[in-house]
Amino acid sequence: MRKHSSFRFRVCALLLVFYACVFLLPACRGGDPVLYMLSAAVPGSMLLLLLLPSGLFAPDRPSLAVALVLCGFSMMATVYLSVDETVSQGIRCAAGLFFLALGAILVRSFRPSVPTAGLAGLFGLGLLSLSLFISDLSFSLSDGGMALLLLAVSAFLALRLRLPALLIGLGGILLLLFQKESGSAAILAVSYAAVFWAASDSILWSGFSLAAAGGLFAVFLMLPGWFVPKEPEIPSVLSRLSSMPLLPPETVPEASGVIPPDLFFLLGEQYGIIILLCAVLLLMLLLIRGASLALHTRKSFHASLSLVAVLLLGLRAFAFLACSADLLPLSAPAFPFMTSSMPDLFAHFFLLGLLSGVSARNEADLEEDARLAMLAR
Amino acid sequence: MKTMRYRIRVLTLALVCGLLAVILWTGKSVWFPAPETSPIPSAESLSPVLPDPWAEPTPFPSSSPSAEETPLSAETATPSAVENQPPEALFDTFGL
Repeated sequence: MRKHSSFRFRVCALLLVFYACVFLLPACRGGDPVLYMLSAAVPGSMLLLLLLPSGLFAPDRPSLAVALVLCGFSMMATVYLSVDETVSQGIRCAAGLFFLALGAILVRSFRPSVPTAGLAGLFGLGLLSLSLFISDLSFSLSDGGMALLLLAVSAFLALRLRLPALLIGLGGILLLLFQKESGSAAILAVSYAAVFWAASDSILWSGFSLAAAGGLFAVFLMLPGWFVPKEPEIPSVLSRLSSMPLLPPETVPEASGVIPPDLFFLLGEQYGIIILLCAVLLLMLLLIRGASLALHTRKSFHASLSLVAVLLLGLRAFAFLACSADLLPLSAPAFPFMTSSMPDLFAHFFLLGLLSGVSARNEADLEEDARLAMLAR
Repeated sequence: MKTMRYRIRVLTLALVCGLLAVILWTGKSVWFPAPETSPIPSAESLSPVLPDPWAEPTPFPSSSPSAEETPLSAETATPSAVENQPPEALFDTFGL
């Protein structure tokens, strides 16, 4: 226990020093008072979140630490370009913590039953179909909708109600296909088939879900004009990557026009490829932590929920990298936690909240075991 | 639950391996790009430029020997010499 505690303090100290330096260096160069404030506020708030007593906030600390580091990276990406944008990104990340708490509370209080699962599924379908009803909607809530939809699928599978799980998942894929969101539809279809395969005992039903999702895709791909491959970016991401330095350059490149919503490659241009590699490796750690939570939980519903969070975050990162490298002819989704798009960021924090909720359930189960063991003595 | 745990392990492993594979592929493409392939040659560059048989024969330069001075024979005819001859001279040379 003492070993764990000292490790946690060391990680916190490292984060504190790193983020203080990251914001202090440009503050000393430019003398902007906002940057001085950020150099104290960012590591301070991280420290506060990571050392809060578990009963108050109940986050899963390893995954929260990874998410906070990625959020810090997203703030770092714009620190030399626009301090206002850095502050805005910090506010967005802080607002995302509300959705983390929401996800954690949802998992802790959610009991799989037909009404709760149906309600979650309908709410998810509603979020996915929002842009069909509101044509001038400038943002997409598909990430949050997908998370709720897969939560409903997990709940139905925990109740062994496979037909509603199958129909509700296919309904979500169909809605995304209607809106020509081929990338999100592919992520949902793969996650849905994987959750069905992991949580359903029947190979027949798993195969049927996979065939149905694949069949829907095949039908829409045959429709003329439905699938328009992504236009190649100029300059391509590979050429942008090859022009990036490996390590942080001494002179930081100046801003070139409007700051894009995706902050991943912007970070690489400012600090070198090595930091991008660190971001991907940190996300892998988050995925492994999520899988470990799924393996240690006692209820299949909670294991499914962890798997949903791992799959949605991991597949999003995979799709982002594969689409950026022109391996997939789709428009690249945002890299988890490194986007300035608020709905996407909130959905990522909600998925992290699902992991935190499962972690809290695991800890509660362990405490219950310890109490029973004490009573048995 | 045991089967489910096994499947979760498989899925996580696949996901992490997929991410690693994409990183390696991107790194390979960035640092070891494929060699530049030459553009596809056009039909004009592939086909030999044949002389127009109906074009007027180009006059010989004064320094070069004329067809009358050095009559061609089938044995001594070289491709360049044949190219430079007017069609009538070639017919005579080969007995056609």
